[in-house]
Amino acid sequence: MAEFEGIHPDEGTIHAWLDDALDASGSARVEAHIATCAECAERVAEARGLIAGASRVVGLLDETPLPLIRPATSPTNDADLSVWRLLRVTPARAAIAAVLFVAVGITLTRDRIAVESTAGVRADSAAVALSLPAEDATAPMAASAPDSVLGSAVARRIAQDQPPRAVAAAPGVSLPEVPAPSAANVPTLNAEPAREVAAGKSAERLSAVATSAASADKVMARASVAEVAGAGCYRLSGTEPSPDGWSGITLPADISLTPARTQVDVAGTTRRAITDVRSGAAIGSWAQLGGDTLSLTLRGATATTTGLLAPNRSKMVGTLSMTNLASQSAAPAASVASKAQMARPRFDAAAMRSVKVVAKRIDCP
Amino acid sequence: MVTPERLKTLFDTYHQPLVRFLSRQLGDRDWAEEIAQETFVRALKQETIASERSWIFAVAMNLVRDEARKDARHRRRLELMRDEAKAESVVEPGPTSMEREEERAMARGAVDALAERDRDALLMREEGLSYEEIAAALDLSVGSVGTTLSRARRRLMEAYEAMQAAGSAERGES
Repeated sequence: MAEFEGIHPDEGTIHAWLDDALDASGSARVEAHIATCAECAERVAEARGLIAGASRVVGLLDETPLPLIRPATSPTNDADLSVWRLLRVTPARAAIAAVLFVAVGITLTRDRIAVESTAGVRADSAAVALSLPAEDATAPMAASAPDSVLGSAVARRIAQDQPPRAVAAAPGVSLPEVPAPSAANVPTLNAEPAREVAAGKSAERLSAVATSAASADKVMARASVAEVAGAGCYRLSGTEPSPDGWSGITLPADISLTPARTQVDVAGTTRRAITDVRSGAAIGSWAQLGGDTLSLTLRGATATTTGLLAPNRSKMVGTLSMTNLASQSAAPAASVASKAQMARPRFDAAAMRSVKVVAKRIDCP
Repeated sequence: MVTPERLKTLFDTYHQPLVRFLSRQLGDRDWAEEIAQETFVRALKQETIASERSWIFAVAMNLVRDEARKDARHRRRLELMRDEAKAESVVEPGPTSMEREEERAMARGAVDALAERDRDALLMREEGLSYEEIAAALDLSVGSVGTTLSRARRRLMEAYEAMQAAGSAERGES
């Protein structure tokens, strides 16, 4: 870590400071410097965004995304606080329990069908699942994640009983600004519908589930209004001229981060539409990550510009990087490859051009 | 030699974070479990372990490298077979699992794009290792850990954002 007296701390030192890895005197020097150096304060804000964003991306590697926000106070280390650890439920044990649960469920159901059926139909487990009355079908579904065949069959059964609901996109207009919620009270969008489905245990409840799912939609609609920390209009300017070929955006630019949702990713992060303030045209999407950091994606005809903006006093700062789409679309699809592999875009670091930007709030017209 | 009681304590404390760390490294839970098991077997043979967490993570990383060198070709063939089996599977994944797979594939691609040392440091930090522990495990100076982590985080986010943008463009989203 660089020793510095009046000179700017390097990026590694800033990360070390944010990671609480500096000793007391080092921390004091960084704090004193940042208090008087606006440029370094911006770099600290950007580093916070990178730390939060990197944690989120690493968490995406897990089969089950990890909580993004750790408890603020921790009397012992995190591992000791885990409920799974207290219950001594290891992943392997949980998997065994789930398999046993499903196996017992299938056995009981098979016995029951054998008794009730006058035809004495014998069926394999998937067929049993397909012929189950819905009252039994939903209970195994909650615990049968390892059994994709059974899960799929149950899903088909529910789909037969309950036609898919049409989901309309939220209108792409700006809503009134609301105060920024803290990261801790941002609702998890997918949790309520999932709990509702998992809780359903009878055929009669299927319709109740449909009703409560509709209620969940309302909850999500309310959440989208309450969650729009960062939504609003911004004047985006670069600390240097935007490079040639930035067709996605020309700095300075007035953009509107609208609450209109475009997609929700696996970690429950909602991406919302960005529009051009003057033309009203949709030009990309944005999302709020941990630590009030915003992820921006701006799309042009031949290039896409992405980056993170982190709060710093009254404005947002960060770096936007442009990638030329032509260099990515040239990647040929492999003849034999998984869907995930085929969907994986090629990343060409050489084709990227980055510009540091500052976003200041402006009144929306 | 580490006593069975001590080994149990080590296992209870470090097994879960180690398997998660290795799963993130390797993209393969079963392989991660195997490496973790072998790591604890090696711990059993140690007389003493001074800095437990950095020792365990360092040994696990060495086992990954040794095994990767030994049977890289074998593993690549297995992965291809597994991908083919997935592609031929009759069970159609729902839209949610497809999105999940795409997100994971992009995160995987971004993590794989990192230099080995940057990736190791970042994943160790995500498991809560201190700068001193990361330095010991990777044979770095403590002073360079911050630089390594800042570079890893920046490159990870640049790669991930670029992939996400390209993926959205391919799907034709506005």
